[in-house]
Amino acid sequence: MLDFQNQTLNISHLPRFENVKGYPVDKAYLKVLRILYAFWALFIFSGLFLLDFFVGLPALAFYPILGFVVVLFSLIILDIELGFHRRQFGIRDKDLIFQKGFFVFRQTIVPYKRIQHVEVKQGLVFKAFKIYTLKVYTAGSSTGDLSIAGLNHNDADKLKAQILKVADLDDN
Amino acid sequence: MTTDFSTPQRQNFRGILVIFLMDLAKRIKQNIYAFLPLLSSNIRENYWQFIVIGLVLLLILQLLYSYKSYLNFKFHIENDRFFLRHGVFKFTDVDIAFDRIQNININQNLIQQMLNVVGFEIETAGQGKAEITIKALSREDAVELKRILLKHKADQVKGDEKTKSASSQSVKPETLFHLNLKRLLKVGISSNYLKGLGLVFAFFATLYQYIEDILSNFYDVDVDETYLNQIPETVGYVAGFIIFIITAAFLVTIATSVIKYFELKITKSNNEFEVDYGLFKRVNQVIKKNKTQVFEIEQNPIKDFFGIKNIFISQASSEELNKKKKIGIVGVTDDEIKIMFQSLFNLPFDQNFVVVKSSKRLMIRLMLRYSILSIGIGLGLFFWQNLVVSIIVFSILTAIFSYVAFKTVKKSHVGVNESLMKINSGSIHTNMKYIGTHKIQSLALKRNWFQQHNQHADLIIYTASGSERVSYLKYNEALKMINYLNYKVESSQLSWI
Repeated sequence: MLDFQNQTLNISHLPRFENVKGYPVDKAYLKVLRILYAFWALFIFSGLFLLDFFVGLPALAFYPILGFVVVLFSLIILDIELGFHRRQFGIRDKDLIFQKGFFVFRQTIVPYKRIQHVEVKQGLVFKAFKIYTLKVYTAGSSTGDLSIAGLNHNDADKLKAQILKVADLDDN
Repeated sequence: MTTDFSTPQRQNFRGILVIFLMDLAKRIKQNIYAFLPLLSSNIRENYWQFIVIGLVLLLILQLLYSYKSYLNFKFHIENDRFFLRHGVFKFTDVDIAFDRIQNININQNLIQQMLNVVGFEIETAGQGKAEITIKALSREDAVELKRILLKHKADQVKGDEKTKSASSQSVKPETLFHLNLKRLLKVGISSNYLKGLGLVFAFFATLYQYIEDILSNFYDVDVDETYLNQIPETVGYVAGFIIFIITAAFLVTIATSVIKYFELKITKSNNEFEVDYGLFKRVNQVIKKNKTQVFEIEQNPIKDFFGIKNIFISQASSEELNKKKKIGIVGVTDDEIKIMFQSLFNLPFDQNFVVVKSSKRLMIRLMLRYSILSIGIGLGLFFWQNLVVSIIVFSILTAIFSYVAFKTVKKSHVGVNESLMKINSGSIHTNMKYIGTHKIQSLALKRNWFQQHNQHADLIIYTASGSERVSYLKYNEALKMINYLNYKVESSQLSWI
């Protein structure tokens, strides 16, 4: 068991990230995700059927590929639909927390003072729904960086302002 | 002869040849598969004129390209900034302020050794690829340039701690460690043979077609067919082949480590270590105290028997780290490890840690992964040979993998104390990674579907030299761990670099 005896610090008094109140990302993001997966599903399935129709794939190749794509898409759709309410970000005095995922649930903590720079992006579909992606870069490996997609204008601005206020960033 | 770096300079004149040969080597490496058809005598005989003409054309194009890239590569120094313009079809301008320079490496590969020039690398800590490589400079120029580029840094340090640097500047760099050939051989013998085995296999796989060609020319038989028809005779042949492969892997492994770490030397000056090693490619790297992120100690039963260990030091880098980027100091004794550890962390080597172990459930995950591999091999053998062979190999593999998985679970744990964390991993070998808690960049907990239901989590620690993962901790212990580490990062006044 974990026991931090012999220390001036009592482990139970440490701030606990699991109790931080999470804010969900904008509902519009779910619409964007639905549009994206519907588009890709349509694209890939029609491509597959067209290929089969015109070139004539052997059944031994066609059905396994079809099965694989169906399973893959159902997993992706399940992950998006069931996991959407888990996409939440939390703000504390000294760090930013983000969590997401249904099959693989991932919670990331990035301390403000390790942030190298912040970026607010907006893709094509995002523009139509007026939502943004906030990207936070650290000096660590890129998988440790945070990317919070689906923030509305208000939240994105607030988050960026909070980070810029606290983090000790370079001026560039 | 001194060179004036304030006007735009080209590389050393011999650089044309260096650039050409290095580019050529790179091209050949990239397109090695394009040469595979040449192994067939049929293609060689019928198309040799085209092949020769094509190769000559490519060679000429490459020469022109390399010459142009030599002409266009110009650098100079102005107002404490390093400027570089390079490119062939489009120009790239690079501009680095001296105080952004993290590190300078001077090294020499075989081509550069023959032409008596050195390679010059400037590392920065920026995002993305900001590294600069000058392929050919004379040694005097390189040393001079290094001095100028790092002068600013030295001045800064002097300003910070006048008395300290004044006294340490006068101290000559002392040699801390020198790896002799005997110990280097021990390192080779105690290395992981899997890599050597892989090399040997890759070598034979590419040459298999060729060998078959030669053999069938000699004996006028099809190797595949006789092989299948005369199974009893081939058992002896297979055994001989396996022994040959193992011996080759053994020798290749020893040779690669001897070539790589030949004459490994560490010198200590001020607050940093300088490491030199290599037989054909002499590498010079600097280990800086504040740039060091992960201090890794590797041991295995054979190394224990010889009384040696390996250290790998990862430094902050703009690129993702791989094994190549780690600075390896091989064949060190416990005492030398203590000295290195102490001067890099300012802490005694003997540390007490509060330890959290990986749960036994990790075994299930590992066995699942290994079983896919062993089932795959078993099925392959079943179709290639017969059921008996496949079952024998499958059971042997399963037994080995169970043992490896068991050892992995037993060794996997993470420990923390006031200023350090220690990540223990390994199976047959043991890996201990020491990380200063203030070097952590961000933290994550990852729980897959099973872990969400059986209350476990993987802890991932991101540093400026890559990520470390501790698998299958109990969820509440992982929470305590991540909260503690996070508290340590946020309350520390120390910088990660």
